[in-house]
Amino acid sequence: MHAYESEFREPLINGLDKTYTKITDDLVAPTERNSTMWWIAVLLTGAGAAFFVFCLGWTVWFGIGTWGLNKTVGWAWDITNFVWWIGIGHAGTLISAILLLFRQRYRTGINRAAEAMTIFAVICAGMFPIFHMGRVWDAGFIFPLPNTRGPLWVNFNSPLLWDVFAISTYFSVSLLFWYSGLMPDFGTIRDRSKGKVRKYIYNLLSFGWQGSAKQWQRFESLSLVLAGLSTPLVLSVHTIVSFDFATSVIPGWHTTIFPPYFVAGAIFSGFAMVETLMLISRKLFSLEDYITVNHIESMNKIIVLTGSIVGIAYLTELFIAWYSGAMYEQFAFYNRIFGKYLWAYAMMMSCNVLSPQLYWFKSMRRNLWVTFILSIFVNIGMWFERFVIIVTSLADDYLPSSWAYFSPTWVDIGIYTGSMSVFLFLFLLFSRFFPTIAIAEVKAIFRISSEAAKAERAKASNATHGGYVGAYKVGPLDKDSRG
Amino acid sequence: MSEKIYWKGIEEKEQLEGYRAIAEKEFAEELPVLGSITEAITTEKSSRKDFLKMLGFSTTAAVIAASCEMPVRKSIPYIWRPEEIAPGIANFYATTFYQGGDYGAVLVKTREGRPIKIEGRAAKNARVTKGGTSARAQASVLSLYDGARFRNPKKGKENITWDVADKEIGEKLKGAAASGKVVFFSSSIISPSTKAVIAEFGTSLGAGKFEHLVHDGISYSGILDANEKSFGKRLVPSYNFGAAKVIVGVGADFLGTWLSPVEFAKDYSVNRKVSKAESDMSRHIQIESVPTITGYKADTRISVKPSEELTSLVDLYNIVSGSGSSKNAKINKAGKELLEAKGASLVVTGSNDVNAQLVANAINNALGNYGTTITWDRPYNTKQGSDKAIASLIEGLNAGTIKGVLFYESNPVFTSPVKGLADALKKADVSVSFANRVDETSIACSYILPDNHWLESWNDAEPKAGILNTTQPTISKLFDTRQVQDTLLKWAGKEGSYYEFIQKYWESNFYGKQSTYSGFLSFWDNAVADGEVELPASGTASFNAANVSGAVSALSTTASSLGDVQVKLYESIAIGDGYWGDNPFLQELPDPVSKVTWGNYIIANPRWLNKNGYNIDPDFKTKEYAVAKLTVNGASVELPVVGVPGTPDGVFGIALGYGREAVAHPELGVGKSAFALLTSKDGNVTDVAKATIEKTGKVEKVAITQTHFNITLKDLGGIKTRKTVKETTLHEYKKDPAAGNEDRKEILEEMVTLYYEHDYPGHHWSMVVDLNSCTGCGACVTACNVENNVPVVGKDQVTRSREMHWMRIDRYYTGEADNPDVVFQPMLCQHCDNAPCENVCPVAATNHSSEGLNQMAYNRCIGTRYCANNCPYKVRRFNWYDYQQADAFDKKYGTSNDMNVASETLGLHEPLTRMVLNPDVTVRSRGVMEKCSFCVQRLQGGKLNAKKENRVLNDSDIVVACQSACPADAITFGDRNNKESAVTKLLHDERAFGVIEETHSMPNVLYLTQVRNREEEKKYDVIDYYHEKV
Repeated sequence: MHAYESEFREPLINGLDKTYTKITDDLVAPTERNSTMWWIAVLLTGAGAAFFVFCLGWTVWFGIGTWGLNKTVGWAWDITNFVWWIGIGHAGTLISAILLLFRQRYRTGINRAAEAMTIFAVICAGMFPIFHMGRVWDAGFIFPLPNTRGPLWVNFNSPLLWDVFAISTYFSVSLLFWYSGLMPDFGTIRDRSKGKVRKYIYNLLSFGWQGSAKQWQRFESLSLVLAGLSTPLVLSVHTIVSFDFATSVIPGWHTTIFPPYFVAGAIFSGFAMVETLMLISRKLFSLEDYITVNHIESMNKIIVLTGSIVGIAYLTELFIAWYSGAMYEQFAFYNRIFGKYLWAYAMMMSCNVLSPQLYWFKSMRRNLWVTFILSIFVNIGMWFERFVIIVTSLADDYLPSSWAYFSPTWVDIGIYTGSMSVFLFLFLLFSRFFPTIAIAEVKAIFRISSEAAKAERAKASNATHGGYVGAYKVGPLDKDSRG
Repeated sequence: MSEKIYWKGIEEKEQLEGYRAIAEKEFAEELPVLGSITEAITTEKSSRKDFLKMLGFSTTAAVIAASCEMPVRKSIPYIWRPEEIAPGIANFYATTFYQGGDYGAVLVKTREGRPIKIEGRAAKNARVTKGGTSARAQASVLSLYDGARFRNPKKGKENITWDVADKEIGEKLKGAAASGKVVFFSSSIISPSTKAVIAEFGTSLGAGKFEHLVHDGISYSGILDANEKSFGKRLVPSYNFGAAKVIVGVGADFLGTWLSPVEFAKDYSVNRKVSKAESDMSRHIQIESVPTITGYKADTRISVKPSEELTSLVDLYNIVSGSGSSKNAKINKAGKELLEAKGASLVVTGSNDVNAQLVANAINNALGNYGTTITWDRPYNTKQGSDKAIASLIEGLNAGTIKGVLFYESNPVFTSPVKGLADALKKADVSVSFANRVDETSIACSYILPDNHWLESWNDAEPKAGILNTTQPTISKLFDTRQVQDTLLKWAGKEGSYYEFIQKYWESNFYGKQSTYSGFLSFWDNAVADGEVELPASGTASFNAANVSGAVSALSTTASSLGDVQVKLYESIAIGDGYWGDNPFLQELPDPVSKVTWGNYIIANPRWLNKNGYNIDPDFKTKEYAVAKLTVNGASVELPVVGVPGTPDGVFGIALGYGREAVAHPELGVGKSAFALLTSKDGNVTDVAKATIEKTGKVEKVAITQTHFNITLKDLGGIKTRKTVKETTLHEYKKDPAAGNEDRKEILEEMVTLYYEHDYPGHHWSMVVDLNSCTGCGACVTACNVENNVPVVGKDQVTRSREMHWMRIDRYYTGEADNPDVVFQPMLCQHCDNAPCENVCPVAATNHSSEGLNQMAYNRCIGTRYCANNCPYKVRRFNWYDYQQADAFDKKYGTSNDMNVASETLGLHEPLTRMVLNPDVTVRSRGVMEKCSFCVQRLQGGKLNAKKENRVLNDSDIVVACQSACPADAITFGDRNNKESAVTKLLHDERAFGVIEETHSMPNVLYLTQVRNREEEKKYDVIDYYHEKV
């Protein structure tokens, strides 16, 4: 990593007492202690996850009829949730891949959790396309497998099939990326472990990580290769998801603006979800020194950027609807704003476009409460964005004779809230057993971007030159370099 | 010389040892598998261990093989093949449908001995209905397999045998005849033989001891009584809508329910079809209060109150007789037009007021229509009832003069406006119902002697004088039932069956009147095979004007007594007088006017609804409607109020026939009975009354399939009207045949593509629907349901917008908000050449056939519903539950229970009811998408027929179900690759257009513009009653 950093730049690791040992102690601590709070949270979300399974079982047992769908609105909460979760799952790859390539050091504090979030969000997302099928027991038909049914093959023209490939690819690459990053840290935990069983398990998980120079070298190459592989995925996954709508003929879906608009929205909601989770975990696991206000501010800048892109996309759609002169298109957008779903449109606009504008002010960007509330707002707004696109477009399309209204049933609500429980449940398990912050990567920036290192350099420079110290120089901190 | 020896190898020549050993064995080499085993068995070396191994293996194998559950197949070997039945080949039998007052000349399609579908008879053998059928006739096949049918005779709730029934009832009837009278109570009977049987039975009881009372649930007593006064005949004459140039209907829904709607729709449509060659059409003016399909189809609909329907008759009479005019300019104009078309005009009224009918007779007489558009040569037999029948029955029972009653095809306990029949029946010595399914009258009777279903019966019918029809059984009877006529013959002490009786009756009464066939048997066989015989027509009548002036003044008095708030009680197109209330297909048929299924409601003016706070769900989010209490003369009903554009302010309509109490499943008893609201005047029931209406504060869900959303938005510059339907006036059409359809040229020009287009090397199926002919009656919808095994889903599912109909009739309003024009548009899968549904299916379950069909492979479908979302016509239907119990999984575990699915609760899953399913059409399981297939089973059948006969397929080989059912011939179907086919010609008509062709879906169903015969163009209003500020 580039070793130069301005001394005036805000440190990314706070605390003058930080040493490599201290970092290890701090970051591994959550995996080594029991917490009542954690148990309560796990039980609660576990119950929610069980309800999720129950609702899915109910759906499969009785039929999709238990949802609120009808002859006109064939997708509603199911695909809304799917796109919402996939969007949330975007921050992980973006942080790990694109920010890695851009050498953004602040990513080290958040990338692990963001990647975990990606994995869990994609797991949640994947549930919906599977269980929205009327005959989920025949779900295997969507794979282009050689079969005994003659020339029967999947339809490569269908965006739903592209989804299958896009999401499975995204999931595998994200999982690899996340797991390979975890290996050195598992090694660290193993080395600190007291119990035999614990040592054995973490050794297995770390694939016997030794920390040799050769391993580090390969590790770094792998990270770069995976970063290179996943960078296009960040853009492609949501682009392909947007094709589900963009390639159709339904007014309000049939829009070429969708790919960039969906990607921006995905990053927007992904960052918001990272913030929500990080703000909770930094408090819960005392990681304030590693996830600093600086981190939060950086993410808030991305939120205001992507939020504004999304806002411009909304306005562009409206302009194009007016400018096109296409009456069905015009009606679709008029209906979105003033029709029977205007409450959904109002939620979307206020949460996604208006609320992030607060972040033009530095004090707001650095205010943790504001950030926490807005991060939740953004995800509410992004859920409504997908709902507005999917449901309002379907409910009133070409032939007025078929217009209908969608209202959810308890099963719809149960599956959605249940999927959030599944997500949190998995995240809680992760935060208890896996290091939430990438220990090795944080250590890599310690000598450059930590408050302690900066202070030391300042002291040294005052003592010797009375001024600026350039690049890194061996100091007392390096003597304590046990992993 | 010794013979030469040839050898093929040295081994053979030398007869080597090894070779000989090989040659003697069957197989040249050791068998690889059996080797060790056979060796083990056959050689002495086999040990005890080997024996145990063999024993173990063979025992296990035997156990495994034996434990596999072998299905028990109950089958009969086809050694004695039933005559005419070949598996997989349908047989058609000509027979006659006459149920609940509805007549139809039909063919019954049977498969493997099961009747599964009703079709219209070819016009040459269907002189009345001319090949058309009604939704009721289409649905009636389901009632054959109704699990609620009586399976044997009953005494109260106790099952008895026919012998016991004959003995007990025979004695009781004798006793009843000794102490009083026996009454045979029925609806109008059109079978001459049945009438003769009834007469025989009456005679057997003794003179003066028997009476036959006739009562129709929907009364035609008024027109019958009026004709008796005007012409001396208590009959209804023939109306010839095809000969009329100007038609004025006054509250007569002659295309939907009045008198003989299928026949009238057929005749009416002849003059409503326009083409460049024949650009003349009849002019139809409808004066009506509660909207009907007839009014909606009219060129000019004059919206008036029920009282004004009566006064408008007076006005018209004054105009045509030259003695006055109307205050309403539109009525004046109508009168003028009638006068201009003297002798070729027709005025009909549906009122049951004798005076109204007398005035209508006077108008027609003044116009010289008798003998041209109205003829007395073939009067109807289908309506003979008298409104006095019930009253005299109750009176007789209470007075003790009537001691025995027999009910046949009549349910007076339900349809009677006066209460007390059920109680009076207790006073009779014997009361017998011949109903084959439970109804209100049968549960009030002491005996139930179930009649055969009409598809199991021999009978004859004479719907109009001299038009003789035969009814033949198409299946042997399913239960221990007996035909009424056989029962009566037996009680009358007559030998022989009713079948023999009919033959004798025909031989002595009809055979002599015809000259086509010599020999009675040849006459009879041909009659049965064709289903119909025509005898020479005769009969005239002269008009007696004596009663007219009295009727005119009486009408004005009646009209002024009706007040400001009036209710009109009408017959529903599906349910009739309640006879069809237990038919799920008809309950789920959306009413063409209101689009409501499952239950009745109060029809009201939408603005009235808005003004009085009944408009509780303006966006139709919940389909909840406010309930009102409507009171007539002390009797009241509470029903939800539904706005129907075209209803005048202060006028309310309620359908009769709903709210059946004695039905097998409570779900079939939806709605409230409005018979109690009928009032009586001069012994005749009147369907209009002075009413009061009040809010109840209650709310009810209404299973409506289409709502009144506004198509066009107010005040939004640039938004044009959707051209989903197109219409023009005859005036414009004559100037330019493409009038109203001008934009199509541009649309077609813009239809260019970079992509490849499909090839259609063989056939390319196409359909054209003439919007001008379509009356919206719904016969096609029901025909499609029966043909294609479309499930009934029930009120709850329809409320959730999940009706499964492959074909629906869209209804659009335009024009003045208070009296709009209406266009009906049958909508089905458009089988697009460039189908949006096809490319989005991830598993290619919906794909394109080489004949242009957009086809579904149900087994491949995984149910993503993407195709339905991407269908711009929204014609795809998803199986939300296992509606038909097609899924083995669901059958075993009953997983769709408790989900309010009608097919479940109504017992449509019973093996008996499932006999109605068409074996040529897959029954769809839960989780798959379905939609119109263009009756692909009929296409294949037609192609096979042509192929067997080694000829080119022509139009008559294939008639799809909706096309066959349509009484107005609005649907044309065929191969567009065949330049000579009717459909190809229509596809190139200037009136042809596709719905939303701008999407480049290239539909294969085109529509012909609606042409209205009027000069003035109505002013265009943006209709949005429901969000209007009051």
